[in-house]
Amino acid sequence: MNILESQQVTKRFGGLTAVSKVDLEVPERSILSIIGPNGAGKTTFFNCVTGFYRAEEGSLYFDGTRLNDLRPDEIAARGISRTYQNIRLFHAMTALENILVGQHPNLRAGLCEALFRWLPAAPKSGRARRLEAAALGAALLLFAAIPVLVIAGLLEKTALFRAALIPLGLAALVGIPLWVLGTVHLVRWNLQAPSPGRAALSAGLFVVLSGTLHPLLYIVGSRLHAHEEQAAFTAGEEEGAALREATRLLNFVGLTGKGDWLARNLPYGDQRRLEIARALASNPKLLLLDEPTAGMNPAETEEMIHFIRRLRDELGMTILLIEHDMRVVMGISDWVVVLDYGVKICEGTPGQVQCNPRVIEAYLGKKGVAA
Amino acid sequence: MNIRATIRRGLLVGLVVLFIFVLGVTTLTGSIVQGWFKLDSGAAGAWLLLCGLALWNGATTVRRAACHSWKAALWNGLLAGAVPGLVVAAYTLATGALIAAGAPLREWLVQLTPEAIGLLTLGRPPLAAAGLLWAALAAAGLVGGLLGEWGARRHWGESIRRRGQAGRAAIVALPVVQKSVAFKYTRYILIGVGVVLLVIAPLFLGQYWTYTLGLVGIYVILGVGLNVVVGLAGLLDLGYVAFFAIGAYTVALLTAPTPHGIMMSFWLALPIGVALAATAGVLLGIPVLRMRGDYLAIVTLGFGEIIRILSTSDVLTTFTGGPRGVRNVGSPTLLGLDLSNYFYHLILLAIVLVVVLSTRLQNSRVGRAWMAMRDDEDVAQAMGIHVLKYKLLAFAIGASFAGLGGVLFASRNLFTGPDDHILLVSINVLCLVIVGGMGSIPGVVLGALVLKGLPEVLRELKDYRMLAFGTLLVVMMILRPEGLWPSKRRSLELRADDEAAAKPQPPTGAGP
Repeated sequence: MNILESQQVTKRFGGLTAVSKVDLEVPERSILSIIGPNGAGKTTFFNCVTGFYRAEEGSLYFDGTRLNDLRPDEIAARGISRTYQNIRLFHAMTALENILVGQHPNLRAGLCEALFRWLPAAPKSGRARRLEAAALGAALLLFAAIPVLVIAGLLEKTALFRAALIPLGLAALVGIPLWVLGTVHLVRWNLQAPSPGRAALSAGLFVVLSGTLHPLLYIVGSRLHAHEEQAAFTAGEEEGAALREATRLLNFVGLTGKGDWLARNLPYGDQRRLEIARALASNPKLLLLDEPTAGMNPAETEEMIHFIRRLRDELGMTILLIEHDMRVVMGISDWVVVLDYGVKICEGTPGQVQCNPRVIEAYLGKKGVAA
Repeated sequence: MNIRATIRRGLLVGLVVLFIFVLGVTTLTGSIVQGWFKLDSGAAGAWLLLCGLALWNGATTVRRAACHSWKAALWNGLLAGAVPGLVVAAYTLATGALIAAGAPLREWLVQLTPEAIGLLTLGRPPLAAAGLLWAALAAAGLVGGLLGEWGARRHWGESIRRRGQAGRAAIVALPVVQKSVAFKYTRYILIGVGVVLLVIAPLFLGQYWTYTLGLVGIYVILGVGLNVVVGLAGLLDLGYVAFFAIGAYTVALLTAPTPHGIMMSFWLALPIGVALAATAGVLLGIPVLRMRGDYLAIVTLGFGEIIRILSTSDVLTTFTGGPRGVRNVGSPTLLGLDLSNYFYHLILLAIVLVVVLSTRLQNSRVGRAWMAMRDDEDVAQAMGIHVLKYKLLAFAIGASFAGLGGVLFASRNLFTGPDDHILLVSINVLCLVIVGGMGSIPGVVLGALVLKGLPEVLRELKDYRMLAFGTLLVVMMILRPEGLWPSKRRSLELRADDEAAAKPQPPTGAGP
């Protein structure tokens, strides 16, 4: 099963075709390397996959979904994560905060949850979130319109009175369906594990919140429901769990004790590792590593090879790698793809690629082949 | 021992002296000294200032050069005094001669009154006065150089530092201090005492200072809001005053008898003002947030001006009250009690609210997303952060805080008009965020105190207060570019003991 498929992907910059009709299939749990001389379009291809550039032609499929029209953050949320050739950490943040940012797609706390940490974590589905936003909007309209109505009535201002009726009507329009949904949520919540306490609570909520077609009923109902369903967290608990996970990742990449360092103060090798930890934090299915061993000495490179293999073997990730160091490429790749001037000139196992005359030509020039 | 560096430094000091002289600081110190010691002329003060500068320059030059010999110190000190002396003398000679020749210098240099020149020349002819000044400054520099060398030999700097350290260590070692540091709630008790002091402050501050402190408070609210936009999310917003204006005008138009006569209660107008400001933040945000850096600054600057110009425009006069503003803005009442005398406390309450909200946001997923965007927008997006959404959120939060500030401001003054919402407000708020330290909430509070409080304290200096204030700002930004109270990252990493509780694995190499 291929986790990533690229079909005829082409990216042009003005007259320059940086990536030209590249076909690529990345099987699950494999380590695939892309190699090629400088300017061959390797990083551009990465940028197309992560959505930073939009491919002009061709399609990219990840796990069956087409990536072409998605924003980078949507692609990241689907489980693709990357590191950069020149390390790009969040320099003014600590190592641990960098990893926490990496967890962003997996966490749910939004504005309300950040402000009130005891709130049940928000539902993850976009539909539920949109409904909640509508409920909140309707509630606000109600809050705003009712006093205006009362005051206009007191002052006998008919124009204002009529104007206030509009938001009230809107709020009722949105509110009634939400009220029904909220009731459904409360009933479902009770049916899951009925108990007198629950029944009393939901009855109380129903009485208090449904008094004026209250859209808030939907929010409370769905939150209670969601809370049960995900057996999880208040926002505060989620944050605590995220912090524990970040610390675990910090230890995993061997940065124990450096979590509170600002990223910019870390030594070079540690920055590389931190960047990988940040990429791992979103628990991706596919990890794109752009020259992970650049600027490392042989011992560190050896360690990195071992580390990358562990990612695949222990965490079950698929790894797409850009690398110049042939020892790394030949050491860990299951499959190697060679790009030159944006065109895929050959692919195969490391052994096959090594002997391919076109590859040697791309690296050394025509004379290299002749000699 | 570097003569060239000494001369360069001397020239720089000379230029600084000229600058402050042209702007009239010498006259000012002259008159202050005159007032204190009941002298008949300000000359003593001016000369004291000049000689003091030369003395200081001599001492620091020698200490920087670290010459370790009396002879070198002598020469360096002499030069350190003589070079600026030459500049000042030349200036005196030139202005003296020009004024004697009848050139209309005052047309360009307002502070160049005959008295100001007289302070330096002491009524002597220009040439003699110049010579005297030069000699005096050179002598002062010489003395300063020798003093500096003496100080270096006796290790003054070292001993002062050591004494300071010893003193601090002694205080920390006190059993009371040790115990209170160990006591868990010390921090909360200190905060509580601070809050109580702030609450009862009006009792012993008097009306004027309470009013000033209220203004500082409103700027704290604005600063905390802008801190979210600029300090956390890294969006340079120069039109921040627009949201302040929207809050102020909303409460004014809804509660004042003219021009609309709605006369709504303050408490109802407050959330409406805040909500409208936040909405304006989002509406402004949607088109401009694709821009970055300088472009964003320019567009927001324009937006701020648009709002102000709209409020003065003829077309909207019937709606906004035009250039004359809105009078008799409603005051808050609570259970029949008029709160307008307690505005200080209301502002305090609002500060607590915005500070709590913004700290909560800062230390959450939302705050981290903002900071990540500030550090590197592209990478932040690649990490799954919906950049546009979080930018809008930052704008909305910042704008709603500004709206809150505007509501309080208009209601406290019982008036709001276009003059309250000039560009300078945006600049001031931005300044206080930067001076305090970007992204740091205590920094914002300190910055507001310095920027809005200090000019009031400096009122003693009359016309020169803004000048002195500007100089202080420049000096401060050179000495502490990261701000007065830079933001400190919370320490988050779980230490070995926490970790052991989290999972039963032996911790490896945890920090001390």
